[in-house]
Amino acid sequence: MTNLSRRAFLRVSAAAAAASAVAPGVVAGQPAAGPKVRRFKPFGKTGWKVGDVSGGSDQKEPAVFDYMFRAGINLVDTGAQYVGHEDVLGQVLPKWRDKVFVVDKWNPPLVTATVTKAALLEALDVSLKRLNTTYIDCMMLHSIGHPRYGGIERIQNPAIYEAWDEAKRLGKIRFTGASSHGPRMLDEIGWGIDNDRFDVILIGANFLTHGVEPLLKKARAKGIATMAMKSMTLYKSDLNIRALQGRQTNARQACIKWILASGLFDTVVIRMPNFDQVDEYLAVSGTTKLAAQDRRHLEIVSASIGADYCRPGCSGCYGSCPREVPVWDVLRYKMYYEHYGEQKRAIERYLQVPATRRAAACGDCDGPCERACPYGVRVRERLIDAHTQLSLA
Amino acid sequence: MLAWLPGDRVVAGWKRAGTPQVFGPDNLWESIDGGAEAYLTFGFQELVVVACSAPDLGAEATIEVYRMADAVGAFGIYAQERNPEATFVATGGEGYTAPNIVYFWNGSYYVKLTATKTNDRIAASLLGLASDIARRIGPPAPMPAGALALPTRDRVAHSVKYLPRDILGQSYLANGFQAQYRIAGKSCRLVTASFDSPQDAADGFARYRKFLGTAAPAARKAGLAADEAFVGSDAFNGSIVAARAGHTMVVALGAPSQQAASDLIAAFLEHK
Repeated sequence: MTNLSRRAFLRVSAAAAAASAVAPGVVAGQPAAGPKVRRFKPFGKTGWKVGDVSGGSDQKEPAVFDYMFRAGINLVDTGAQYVGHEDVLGQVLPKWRDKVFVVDKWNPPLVTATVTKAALLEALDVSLKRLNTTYIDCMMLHSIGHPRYGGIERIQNPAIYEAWDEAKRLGKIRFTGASSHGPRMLDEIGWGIDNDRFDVILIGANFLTHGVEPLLKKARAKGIATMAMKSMTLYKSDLNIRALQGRQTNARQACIKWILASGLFDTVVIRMPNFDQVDEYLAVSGTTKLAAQDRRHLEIVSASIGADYCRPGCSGCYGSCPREVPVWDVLRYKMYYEHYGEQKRAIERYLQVPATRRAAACGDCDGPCERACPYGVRVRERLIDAHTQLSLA
Repeated sequence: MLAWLPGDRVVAGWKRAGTPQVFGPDNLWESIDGGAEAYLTFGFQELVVVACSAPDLGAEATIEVYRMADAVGAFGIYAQERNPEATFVATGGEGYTAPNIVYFWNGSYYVKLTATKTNDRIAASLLGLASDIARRIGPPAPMPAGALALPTRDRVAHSVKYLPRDILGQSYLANGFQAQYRIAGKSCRLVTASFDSPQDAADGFARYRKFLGTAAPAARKAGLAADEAFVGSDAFNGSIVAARAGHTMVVALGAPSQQAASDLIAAFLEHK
């Protein structure tokens, strides 16, 4: 035993116990005068009044969930593929079951054009067991609109809708929906809305994206609840923007404030793995208007990366290159090279692109990719830069 | 990693059926959208995905090999996904099977084999393939040292986890372990966190005590410089006993009594 013998430790803890006292009126792990959810909105036709800030994945400590729910967060977004997230939530959920709206998702690779109703219902039962509950408020198709998992035929599989109907009949789910931040997000979410498949949608959006407004308008017209995610993916890497030194927290909060003030969504889902982050993000709940300082922070971020940043849910450059350069991928490799500190890997990835499809030929092209980008990203220039950077191996 | 998997050679009746796919930290989300963040937290480096078939069995399977930064990270992500109710097998450091899967960790690798359908023969063959891969990775890896110090008495089987960060929901607590215990019919847990120095540990310890709102002064005995302990509580876990020894912090949460909590902590400190 190091430093502290067993007997000594017991003496110490006994002494500490005798002297311990919790400050009156303060219960640890419970927000007292701390941040609270300050605004609740109708959540589509579900009948739920959802807080404007909701919980995303990545909590590994059940007490954080408890803290979130005590603070008024009343929707949590989880999924079968969120590595233990359902289990941790399940440790807390029974205590809060009727006060929290649970959004869950099947593992994306499970949902194929040929998956059976039985397989989906079996997976649903596994999630119910992990969540320690008898029902899920909204069961979603996850990551639709991403070519990695297949085309639109994937979500047109009738087995999905038969499984949902059966699960509703059995009282295992109440509502259905889909999430997406892939390049075919607008198409596939749109298909589901047009065909009355979804009660709730969860899509990637932040202050640098645009173009989702018509989709959201269509959703609202049908009483479909709307949730935003990827609202802070800008901060996934340490952007190290000099003008924001010492104000990173304010800038992160400004990103969330923008979503809240936009009025585009019923709620925004945010990853909050620790108490500090719950406090940080709940501090902006209730925002209906951006302050001048918030706008300034967003302007700085936009000026720094707006012309380089590929937005979630965008497919503008897909298939735009007559020489079949994988524009979207190459720009991604460049971003990893510049912002993620992953130079070696970025180069390796680029070298996996067949030589005839690399960006070497972009110099004498008139840049249809750039014209196709709805955000004005300097696509051609960045492709040329990328080829120079990533061909140095 | 590909050398360990079915390819030109047939392994345990399985052969490769497609081009291997490779993912890095940048695009892991394309393989496990939503789960990638957790893998990155545990030090994910690279994923190789290979589709295989066993023609004699009419079976198909996918093998995923995750290379992590170190063995602690491989154990960590394995344990995070582990189903404690599964059937455990002596494959690699530890593994388990369910009807159509075999998951195990060994060294710095976490390996997942998933068959598209199953029966007794396919399950046995899949386990044979997993064992072959585990052997090629290396001898069975021991549990991480920080996990070995967790007391075994009253410990819930297969409940040990590695916690890389945000331990107890605290942004300043990292690099620790957790195990569940069942004492006098009550569930409780023991959680550890490591620091770079005793001073960092003292700072973290004080911050956690402040978070709990516990007003107890640091109890100190002659000859126990830098060691301290306190008793507190929080709204979710109930009673909490915490101690610091050197650069390590250990916390017992929800134990049936302070004595039981103190015994758990003392047993840990004896072996750390």
